Amino acid sequence: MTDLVRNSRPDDASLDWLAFRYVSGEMTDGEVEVFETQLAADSESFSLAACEAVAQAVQLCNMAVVAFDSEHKVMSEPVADLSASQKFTGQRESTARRVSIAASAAAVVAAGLILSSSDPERIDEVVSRETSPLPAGQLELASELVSFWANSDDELDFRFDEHPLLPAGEVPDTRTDDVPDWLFAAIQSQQSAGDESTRPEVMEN
Amino acid sequence: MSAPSVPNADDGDRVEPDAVAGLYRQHAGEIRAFLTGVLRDRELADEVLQIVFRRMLEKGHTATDNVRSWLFKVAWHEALLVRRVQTRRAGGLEKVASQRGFSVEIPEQSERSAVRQETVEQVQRAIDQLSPEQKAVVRKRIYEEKKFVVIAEELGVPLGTVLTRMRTALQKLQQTLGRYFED
Repeated sequence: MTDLVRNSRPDDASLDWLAFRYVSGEMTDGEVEVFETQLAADSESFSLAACEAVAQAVQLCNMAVVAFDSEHKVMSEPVADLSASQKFTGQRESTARRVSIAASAAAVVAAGLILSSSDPERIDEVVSRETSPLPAGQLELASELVSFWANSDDELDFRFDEHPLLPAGEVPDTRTDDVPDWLFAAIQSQQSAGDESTRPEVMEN
Repeated sequence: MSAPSVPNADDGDRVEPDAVAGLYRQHAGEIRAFLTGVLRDRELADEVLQIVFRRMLEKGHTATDNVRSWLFKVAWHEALLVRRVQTRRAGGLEKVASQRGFSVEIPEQSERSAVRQETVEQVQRAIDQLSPEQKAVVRKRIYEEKKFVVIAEELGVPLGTVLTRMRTALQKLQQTLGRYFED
């Protein structure tokens, strides 16, 4: 805050700028105290202009927020289903990570099934080749999946929610054999999102 | 602190309901905005707004020349009363929380007033007329509610540069949108 005061030029004492800083919470306690003397009904420094400036600052912020909101909704329409429930980059990124894990694991499992009856020692080699772009953590998961299939006749009973490599509490829909909606939507989202990283950056023209 | 004096109901200085309604239509918007700026809480601002005009209806007003000024003064007085209660409650809550070893953050409610579509479009056009640097600062400060210090760090520019961009952008927006601030 002291930087804010120090960096303010003398003519920044204009009411509009002060009012904006006031409603934005960008004033020091001392500045607030001084400014509010212009708002106080029983103060000798009462200024109708200051009250009006506060009101206008709030109204301007309201309109700007609605305008940015409106812009955001237009930009996010192509990803409608996903954007409604996953507004934040963090959630999109974790879902995309799960998708990449699941998709890569599926590819590795398919390769592993072919090799399971042949040379188990080649499994790691296949995993390494098929999943080479994956980070080490996902590689470990994929390798574990393939090993499980190769070494067991039991139906796969891998519970994602118990695996330490996946975010806690994020359990994919395993009720049917169809690709779950979240996965399908996440794949579509991943394909359409591209290099999108943060919400604000997406909004820039 | 005493409220601006109001005449006794028997004095016959009451304002007729239709007149109060007219004044409400004319001034409620900016009084509400003023209260929101002071209280940082839209719901509280709405409640206090009702108190202000209810007082006018029940007891009249003592404005000698400028009713608008009277409205702002009453609004400030009522807002101060509410803020004192808020402070006491928040202080009590934080005290209890600290005793139990966790922190309590009193959230500020974001403001989303009803804005006509036409106004939204005008505002969007006005924002688009800003330079990219100014628009970025406006978006980060107003929409993303980031402090100026944080914005300066994110953009890798001095704090003074951010402040200048914001101030310039505000001037442009107010010049362009000035008439939309009228009730």
